[in-house]
Amino acid sequence: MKSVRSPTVREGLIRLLALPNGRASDTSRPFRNAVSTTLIVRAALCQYNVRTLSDSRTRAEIALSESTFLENLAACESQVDAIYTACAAAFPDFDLSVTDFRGAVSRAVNKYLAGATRDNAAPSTREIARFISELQDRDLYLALACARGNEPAWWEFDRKHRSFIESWARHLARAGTDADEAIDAVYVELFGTKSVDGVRQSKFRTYTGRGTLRGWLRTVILHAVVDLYRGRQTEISLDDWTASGEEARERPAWPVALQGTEDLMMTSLVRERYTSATKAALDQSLSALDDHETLLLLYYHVDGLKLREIARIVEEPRSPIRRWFQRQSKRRGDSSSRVHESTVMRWLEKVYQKVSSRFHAELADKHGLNAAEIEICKVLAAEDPAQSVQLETRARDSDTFMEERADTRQIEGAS
Amino acid sequence: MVMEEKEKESETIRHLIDQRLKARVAAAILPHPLDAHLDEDSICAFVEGRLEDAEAVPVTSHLVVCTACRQTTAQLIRFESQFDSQTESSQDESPGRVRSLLDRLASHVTPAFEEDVVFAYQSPADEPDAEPANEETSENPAD
Repeated sequence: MKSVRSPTVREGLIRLLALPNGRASDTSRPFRNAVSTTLIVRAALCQYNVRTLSDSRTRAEIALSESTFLENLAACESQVDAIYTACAAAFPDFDLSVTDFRGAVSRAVNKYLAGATRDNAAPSTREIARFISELQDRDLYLALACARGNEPAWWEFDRKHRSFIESWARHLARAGTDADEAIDAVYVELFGTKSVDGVRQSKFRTYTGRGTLRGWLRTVILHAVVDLYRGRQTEISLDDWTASGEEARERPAWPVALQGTEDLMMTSLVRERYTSATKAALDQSLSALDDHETLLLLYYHVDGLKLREIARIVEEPRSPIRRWFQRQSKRRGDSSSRVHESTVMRWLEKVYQKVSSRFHAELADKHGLNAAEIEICKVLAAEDPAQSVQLETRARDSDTFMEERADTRQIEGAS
Repeated sequence: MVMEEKEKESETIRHLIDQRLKARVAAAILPHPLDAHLDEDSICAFVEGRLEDAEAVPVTSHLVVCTACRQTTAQLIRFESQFDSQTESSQDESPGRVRSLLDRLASHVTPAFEEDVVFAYQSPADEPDAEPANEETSENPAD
């Protein structure tokens, strides 16, 4: 006779998670997935009804493109099936059908490749095959099985990622109780409390396998922590979160001496003219930048990332920002080599130069200012409090930049 | 002297850019409705550097105009750097914490009338002595 014992709470919860609608059942019922494949596919497709990113193509273009896309995708079916076979062999208990797996891969390709090619053409078979080969297939397989409420999948997920979820949440939240609350929220979200057409809307359904499951979890947990604090109407600031250790740095106000500005006895009309010309020229110069350059500036100046932190985001050789700057650079070097802070600093300096040249040209050509007037513009802008929005927070002042530049030169010299 | 002037000029432009960008971001009214933010999947793929150039174009453009999504990516980068200094011993079991976590979670999702149900289920990953011998008191690694 099989022994019957009381389960641990953890066992009970995972059993609960394994049930399709979050309801406990009688103990004799086996833990099988009771949700029909049709409902799962329908529910999974629902989330893609709204496009996240813009698509400006006409309907005719989209129809043609989609037809080609489906043909090219079908040509990769054997590749998808081979991946599925390998995953199914690795996780024989997950009970995921090849149809479900194909559907998930198809949605991933559609999400990232449709409209991502030049001229918005359908992605080629080769592009799709490359994309599929880069998928985090095991992670995707696990997530799909969890989304279906498969119990062994949940056990595997719990075994593999629970410890990480806990430590990452604890890292983000300042208080242990906050972390616990965020973890609870994440698990509930992963399980899915909302139901559409009788199917639980598990958060796992939004994972496509383009990035790692762990990276995806990082983001989900971060959002959960932010939502937690927002819900309490607690102001979250990056400064509060990163106030530990050397990250906390008070940055003094703009240190450049503005000798002689007191002597500038200008009428408010003249002052206004120079100020508005400066703003217009600066805005024009900034808007002329490529998105990659703007993003780099925003990360550094607005979001307060350090050079070494930006270097991390471009560490991956395929990072779009890294590749964009490498394409612009004459000194290409080894595209797979590590990006040092000094490299990021050089990129920043190039952007500064670009803005500076354009800024001067705008003031001179469009606003008809001479060199002396341009200098006045810059001095006025530096002392104009109207532009100094939140200057006290994470100001990228001269000292900080010079300090980081000195650091990067040391690194450069050492390497 | 020329170098000094160049340096000063460079400092000035950095300062102007710094102030102007902050002013623009602070003044910006939400450019996107809430449902148009990047999802976790796209953010993760971007931060991990997995997107091809063509795939990254709409994401990069979005990040330039959407402060919320960009801040999420920035926070991920920042916290990851800090987090990496600690071990990611993901395989270690911590039954004490799990028990308390699942206790709370179960109380949220389990109907009260089923609280006393006796399960006959035997977990595949069952560990007979998985009950906590000592409660883990994990310190906040960020501290």
